[in-house]
Amino acid sequence: MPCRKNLLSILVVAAIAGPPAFCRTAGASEPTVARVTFNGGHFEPAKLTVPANQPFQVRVTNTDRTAIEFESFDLHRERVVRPGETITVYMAPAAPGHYSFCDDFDHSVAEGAIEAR
Amino acid sequence: MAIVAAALMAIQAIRTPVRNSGATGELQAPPDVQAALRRACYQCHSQETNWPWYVQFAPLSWFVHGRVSAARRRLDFSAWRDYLYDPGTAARKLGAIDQMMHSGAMPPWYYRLLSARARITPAERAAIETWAIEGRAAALKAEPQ
Ligand code: HEC
Repeated sequence: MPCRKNLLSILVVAAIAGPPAFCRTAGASEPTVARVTFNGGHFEPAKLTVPANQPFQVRVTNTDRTAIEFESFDLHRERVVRPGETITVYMAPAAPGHYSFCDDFDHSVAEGAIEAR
Repeated sequence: MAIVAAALMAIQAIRTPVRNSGATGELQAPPDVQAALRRACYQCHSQETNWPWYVQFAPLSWFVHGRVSAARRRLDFSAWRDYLYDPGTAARKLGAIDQMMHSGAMPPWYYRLLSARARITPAERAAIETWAIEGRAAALKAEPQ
């Protein structure tokens, strides 16, 4: 993963040099993109299925009127999604299993889950 | 007195040791920043905790276990490599570190009282903050959107 290494080095050298060019080359095959929309106070669909042991992306669209924080403690991801915004969350290859996500701004929102298999 | 002693012994049966997963996270930072974070933050925010023997006993062990679990959920330096995989997440964690350094809320006051490790000098605080601000800017640039 040359790009990840690149970001690692960016974070080291940022203090010394200016920001070097960043690359994110697409792999041989395009990664799976799972889509989820937040609307009316809940995630739809509430369950996403992705292939295990492969990088994937979760595209989160917030069509609600308040910002959410798409958070997966299991997968170590934390991203704010403002109203009307769509973001892409990059996920490392995950072992087969069940990984939950939530709106960390509002814990009354039902949790969603990503199943890697 | 005997009742208190017996109760203290009984609750030792409820073991909640702080366990480490073995992950290291390969945090990349200038040596002074790295050293300060390891000393003052890793006891709670990593899988490389190493608590002294006297906090292995209930009820203190319950408290420590609870704090470490909460801390790791928010920020786990041992997951650093994984954070960097998603630049937006890395930016968010670095932003939170900057905020905590700025406000002085971290390390928590009770830990600063208990442990000399947690006392960070103004220079260390500034170095961590600079690293976090610059790292966050780099991560935001790396976000391909
Ligand atoms: C004694 C344990 C302990 C130590 C040592 C400690 N923290 Fe924390 N930290 C916590 C806990 C507990 C939380 C979570 C609080 C909560 O969930 O409300 C936390 C939360 C945080 C957060 C997340 C804040 C957020 O809003 O997401 C950051 C960032 C943070 N700490 C940075 C640091 C840094 C940097 C250091 C070292 C200079 C440090 N902490 C040392 C216990 C600790």
